[in-house]
Amino acid sequence: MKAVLAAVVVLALAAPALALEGRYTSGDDALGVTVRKETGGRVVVVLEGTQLGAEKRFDLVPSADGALLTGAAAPLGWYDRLMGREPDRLPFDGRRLTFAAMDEARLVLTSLIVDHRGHPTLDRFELTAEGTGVSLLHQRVTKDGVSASPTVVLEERRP
Amino acid sequence: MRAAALALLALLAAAPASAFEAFLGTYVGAAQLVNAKTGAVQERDVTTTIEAYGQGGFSVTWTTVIRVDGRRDVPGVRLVRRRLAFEAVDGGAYYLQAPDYDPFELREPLEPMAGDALAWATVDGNVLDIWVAALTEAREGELQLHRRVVDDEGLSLHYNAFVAGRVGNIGSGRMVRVD
Repeated sequence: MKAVLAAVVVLALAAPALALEGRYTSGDDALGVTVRKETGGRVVVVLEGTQLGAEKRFDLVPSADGALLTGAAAPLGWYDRLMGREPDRLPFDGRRLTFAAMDEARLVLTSLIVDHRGHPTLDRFELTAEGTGVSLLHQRVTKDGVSASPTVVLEERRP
Repeated sequence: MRAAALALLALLAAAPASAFEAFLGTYVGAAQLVNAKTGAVQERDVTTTIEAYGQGGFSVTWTTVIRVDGRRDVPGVRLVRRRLAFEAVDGGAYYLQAPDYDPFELREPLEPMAGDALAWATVDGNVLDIWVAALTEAREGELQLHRRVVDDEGLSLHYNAFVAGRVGNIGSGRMVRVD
């Protein structure tokens, strides 16, 4: 019974009510954000038209302590499985280290990738509920410093 | 056979020195850390030792004495000592943090989401950059750049901490090579 209660508490922490759930686009449709809650506390965030590329999808799962949502660990090859290695979330070899902190009206998604020369790119997307839409702030940190795109207000698009 | 061995020796002798060789040594100096938000300045005495490590890697050990109002002989002075070892990444142009060696434990993968800081380094000519990524208590990503530029006399230090997509602290300093 205790275990069931603990699991419920963890799920409740990991999946707050999602006022942000929906699809939002800029007036010219150049920029789009979709936030979708799925079973098991999973959250899918899709960014369209950002510097990350035409469309970037993040599948996030609750962390063990429920405090964060994290990208899934990279699947292991047969040799690594044979050697009993644990999957990792390191941002190398073309993989991204992704995590998000979320409350009812705000989602901050951070994504770090390190290229083959060791140069990092950290992207931070802050999505805040605002009226009938959301505001989106994108900040980027690279070896050349910090840059930020102007905050954009996106309106909800109902199917 | 002898000719082949000599050719191999010649090849080994001609192999380029490690990219980080110019940085090897011990350095002492002073640095300043400025809080970008408040402008508060922290004076520090710094010592750094850079040594070869393992197969083609290097380690950096640094000691920082954080002064109080410019003094290091009053209560409140803090001493911070850190060491990071880096291994060359296969086929890559960077170095990845090596876990602390323990003969009785398996190497556990680093888990930044569980609080492990993740460090890697690049060497580009006379510039050694050490990057550290971590998750803060406020659940924000923090990225630190520790830059060391080597010259004939020592190292110039540059430090930037980026938290929540903004510049947090900025540091700079100068160190001289000592015997």
